Amino acid sequence: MMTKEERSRALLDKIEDYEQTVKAILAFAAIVVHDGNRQSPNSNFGIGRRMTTSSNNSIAPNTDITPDLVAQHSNNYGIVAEFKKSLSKDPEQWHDIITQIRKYNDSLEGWWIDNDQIQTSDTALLIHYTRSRKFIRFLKEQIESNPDLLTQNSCVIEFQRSDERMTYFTFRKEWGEIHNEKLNNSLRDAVPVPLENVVKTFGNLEFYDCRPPMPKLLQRLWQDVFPSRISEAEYDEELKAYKIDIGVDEVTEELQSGYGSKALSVSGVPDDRDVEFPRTSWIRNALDWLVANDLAIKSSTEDDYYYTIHFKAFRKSKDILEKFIEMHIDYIEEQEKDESQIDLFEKPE
Amino acid sequence: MKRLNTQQEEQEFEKYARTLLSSGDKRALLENLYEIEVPPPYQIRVKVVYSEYDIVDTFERIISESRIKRIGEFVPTYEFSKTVGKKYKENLVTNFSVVQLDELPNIGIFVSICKRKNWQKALVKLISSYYPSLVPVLLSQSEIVQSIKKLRSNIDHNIFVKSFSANESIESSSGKERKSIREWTNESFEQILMEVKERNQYFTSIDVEFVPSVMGQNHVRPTASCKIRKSGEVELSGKFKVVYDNIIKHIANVGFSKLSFYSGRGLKESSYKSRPLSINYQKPVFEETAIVRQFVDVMKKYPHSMYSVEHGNPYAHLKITDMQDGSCFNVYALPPERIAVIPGLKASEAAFERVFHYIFDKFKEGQVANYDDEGRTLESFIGQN
Repeated sequence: MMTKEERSRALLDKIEDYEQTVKAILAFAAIVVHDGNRQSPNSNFGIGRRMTTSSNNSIAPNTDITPDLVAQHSNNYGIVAEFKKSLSKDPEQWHDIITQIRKYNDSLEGWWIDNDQIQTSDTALLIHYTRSRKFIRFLKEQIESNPDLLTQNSCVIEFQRSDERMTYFTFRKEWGEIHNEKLNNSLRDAVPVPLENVVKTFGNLEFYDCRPPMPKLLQRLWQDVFPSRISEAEYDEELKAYKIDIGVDEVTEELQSGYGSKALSVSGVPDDRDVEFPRTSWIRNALDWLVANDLAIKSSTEDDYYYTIHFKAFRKSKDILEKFIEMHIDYIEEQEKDESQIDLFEKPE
Repeated sequence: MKRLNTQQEEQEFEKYARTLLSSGDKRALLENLYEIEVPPPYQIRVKVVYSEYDIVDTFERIISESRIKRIGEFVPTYEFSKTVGKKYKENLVTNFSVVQLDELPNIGIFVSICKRKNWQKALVKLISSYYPSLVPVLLSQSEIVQSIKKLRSNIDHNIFVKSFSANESIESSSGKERKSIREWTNESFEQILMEVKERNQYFTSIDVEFVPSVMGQNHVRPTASCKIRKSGEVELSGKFKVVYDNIIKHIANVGFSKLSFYSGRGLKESSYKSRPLSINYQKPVFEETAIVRQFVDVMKKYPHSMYSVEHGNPYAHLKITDMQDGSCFNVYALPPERIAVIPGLKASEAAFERVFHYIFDKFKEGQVANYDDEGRTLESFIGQN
């Protein structure tokens, strides 16, 4: 049984992982779509873009998949990438990651080209440097026993945040080849991307196609979405709180436009392969959490869910993220008393 | 001018000042102020404010207190009664006018002829209570200096500093601390500027005299003297027109330009196109972790706010919510010479003004600029180590 402190630390790590992953995806996208001076012609990228596997896919033929990043360097070359900031310590679970790479390593449909297919693509697994060497040893052992496990179009790239005079994300290829000579050469030597450039270009992007830890979502709602409505809200003297009426769909739309899929808007025009994040179900889940914690009440209609938030400033000296982490741990512990076992971080939607 | 010594004299003068403020129209009011000679302990006191809409309409809409009574028929002049003091209660009656500047639609002034206690204990607090409908124009060091230089460039006057208040960074056993100082001088403005710069001090107010000068020969008496506060307040004696035309209008222009520059940057207002701003420093500031921590500590104490510290070391990243109007910002200190302020769903010009002024006041003053003129492109994305 984890102590409160251990749970708090684990949640903070999870939040940190999530934030670093968003920034790392953007930084790596820049490496692929840029030539160092400007954006390459016919380049594009999408986070969680819906791609379709071929009929020859050995894992999941003719299926839609949503890799963390699809980055098209040109009309002839692109990279599909999956990011693992944290990795299970148990190597047995790493088989799933290899299976995922095998699934992605295919003539995928869904590139920003007329026929949706690209001449050459690679699949990259991006792993935090603390785990990359160990994972590569494991991968090599698997390949020794099964030489056809992965094709030549797979590679492992490690990444890390380095804090020198400025903060950088640095990427270096540790295993496999990239079938674009320039990218292959530069990633072999390591490519640094200043974090400031990521913030400057997509400083608003806070989510990707993966559910954030609950306290992070609650923090964004409590520090931004709800306060932005207080000028129109009624202040309830008895509750000592603003009563803010909101619908799930409008909050989802705001968060997607401000901090999610619509904030990317690289091509300017979303197409039917773009996925939406944060998802409506995540927002609904977060609002239900507020109801369960006496910070909102719920009223439902046939086609949507509406809530009245009881919004107030928390104690001045308290960090809001820490406050929601504490509350979430208490909430989970309460749940655990009632239910036999609920995973702290992956509460079902 | 000779100081009023008796209560009767003061009562008579207050009646005169009240009539002067409340009779006629806006033009007559300004002309009356141009002419009046105000005896100590009274002064003409002005506060420059910004509003999203016409200042007079805004004020008429938001006042609901029975303590405020309109006394001007054709000019928005009011009487405000307030009881102050805990042990010894005193009822302060303060007359003031609200003037919308013709040339700057969002800027106006509150003007009163009153004693310091009426101004500070009653009127300034009243105006503050109407934030964010009424937003004070807050001045940085460089803006105060520019206001004074503006006057000198327009008329042949020498400027002498009578006194000033400033903040100063000092090294202590527990790191850098800020100390407030007040000094009385009779030196030229240039001399004081040089000394203040050397000592790394930042004005909070400056009291100056404008002395006519011909061919290097100074008059024995000043045309006007005034105290300029960084809170956008001016208290003056002598010729109102000189100060109004050159200093107050300059402050109004600064406020208008600044707040217009800050406006329309919240994500909802800008159709979700991010329009971040930055504070740039000429020399690197965040080179030591201790400074980053100091900045984070300063931001955690931002009044009327909620915060989250996302990173405190080796770079700073905080989310700040302004609880006065619900604005939200992501604040980053990433490279050593810059702070980035990235607006959230709502980010009003008033909230930008307040947070910048706080950073200037409690941490370090810098230059505000667009964070990224190139907008949402990937240009210059990749840097070299």
